Amino acid sequence: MPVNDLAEPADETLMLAYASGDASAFEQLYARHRGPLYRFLLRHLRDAALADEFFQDTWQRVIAARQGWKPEAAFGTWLYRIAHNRLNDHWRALKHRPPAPEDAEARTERVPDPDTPERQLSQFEQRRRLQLAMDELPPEQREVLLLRLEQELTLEEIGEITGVGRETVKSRLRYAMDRLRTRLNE
Amino acid sequence: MKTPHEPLTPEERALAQSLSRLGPHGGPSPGLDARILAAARAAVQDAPAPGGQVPPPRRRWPLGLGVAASVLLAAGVAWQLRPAYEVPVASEVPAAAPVRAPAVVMDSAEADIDPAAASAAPVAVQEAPAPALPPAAPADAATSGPARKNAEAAARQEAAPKRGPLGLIPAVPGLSAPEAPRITRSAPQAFPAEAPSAPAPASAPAPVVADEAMEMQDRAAAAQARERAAAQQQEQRVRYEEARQEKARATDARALDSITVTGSRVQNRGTPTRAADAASAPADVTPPSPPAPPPPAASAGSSQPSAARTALRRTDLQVPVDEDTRLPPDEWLERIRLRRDLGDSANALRSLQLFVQAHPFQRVPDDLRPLLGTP
Repeated sequence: MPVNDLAEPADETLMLAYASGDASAFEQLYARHRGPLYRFLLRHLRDAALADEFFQDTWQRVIAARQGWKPEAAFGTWLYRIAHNRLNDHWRALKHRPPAPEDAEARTERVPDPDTPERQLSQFEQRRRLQLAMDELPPEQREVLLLRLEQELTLEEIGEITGVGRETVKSRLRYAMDRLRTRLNE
Repeated sequence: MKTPHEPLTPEERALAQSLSRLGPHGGPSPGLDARILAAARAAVQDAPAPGGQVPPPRRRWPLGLGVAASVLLAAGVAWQLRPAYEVPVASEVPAAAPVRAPAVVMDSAEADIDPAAASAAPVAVQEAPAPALPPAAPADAATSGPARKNAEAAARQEAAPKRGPLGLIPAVPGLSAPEAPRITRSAPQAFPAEAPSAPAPASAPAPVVADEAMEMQDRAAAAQARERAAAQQQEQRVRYEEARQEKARATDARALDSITVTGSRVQNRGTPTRAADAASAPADVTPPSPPAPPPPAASAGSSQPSAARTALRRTDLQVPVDEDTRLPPDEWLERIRLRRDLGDSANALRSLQLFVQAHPFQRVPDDLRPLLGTP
């Protein structure tokens, strides 16, 4: 979650200004959240075309709901909740977990044997392990982990986005961290 | 709003840095950015009211419901008024016929009157149609004709009782002074215009219908009054025939008496006797005025009125007893005597009781005290 500078208006102020008809306020708001939101979607979907579609759909919902929006929660929380719901609809429509990436087999084959002298992985290999570990996480744990590590949202905010309680978010985050830690230390 | 910021732990920050290096590093394409920003601007420009809610569409059903209710109310009022407007018109033609029919008959009956009975016939003939026409009829009939028929019928109910027992008798110069104002008040209005008012309604009924449109509220009462007047006229005509026959018989009887009396030479030498006057009076056709009726004082004390006077006064019995209360005390007492003399003791007693209630401080004449059962 980007922290607004003191000189810059808060997200909620910009959203209210946009709801009142100020298009430039939306441009500022969009500039703040476009990158993190897009990456969030792309990490989940692992498909640029789908990420573009979901990204545009999320912002369209923000535009359509501007009149009824009230600053009861942070704008970022509301924005990512919209994206989360859109992802859930997508997963529900697929009826199963998102398919593994097309190069999953190659990735797995490229994983070095830990018993080999190449045990000392380079930094590149470390990132590859991290990527594989992220792919193996359940969606709900991966979502919580991304919202926490990339967006730096609080547990409460993540709970508002995902629709679960704070303890559930905390538990999911702990399980995700353990799996990553285990996978990276292997 | 925003919850307190929870900084990442060192482990989380290390993983975050690893993820950031892992990618993806890019963002949405410039085309995607342009589409989203264009959609945002278009939404703001198309908004009807900046920052305001879209006004809900006005509901028009209350207006339609009000109009429908008004139309229904108007239709209901029109439906209620329609029968009230048609009933008098429908009853006008049959009601007018019986009213005027006796008048025509009376005219023909008047033409058939025997000249020998002229002394009593004019009185009876003029008296018979009187209840059917108000005292003010001549002036109105002369000006507007039958157009005032309904108003006349309504006025009959009030005008008839106000007429005294002798008010029906034509004015005679020889009447006493106290009766002169009363006769001059009613006689010139009631009788001279009787003849011209009778044929007028039969000639033009159309103005009557036109006039009724302005007097719709009096239609029902007028129709009832006409029906009652027609019934009264029919009954009066029968009584008139009876009275005429009785008068003829009485005249014959007096003629026989006068023959007996005038045959006496002893009495013929002196002043003319009353019998001679009586015999000459019926035969005297030349005087234009009818014979003077006996004064009220004489009739008050007499218990055997003449047949013509009986027939004349019978018309007063048609008036309800309650109408007697509108008469002055003298005329009221006269009406009571008339009822008593004609054998209508029940109504005479009722009228006398009303008289005592209305005039508790006025002394009841001695001749009427037997009605009350007091000596």
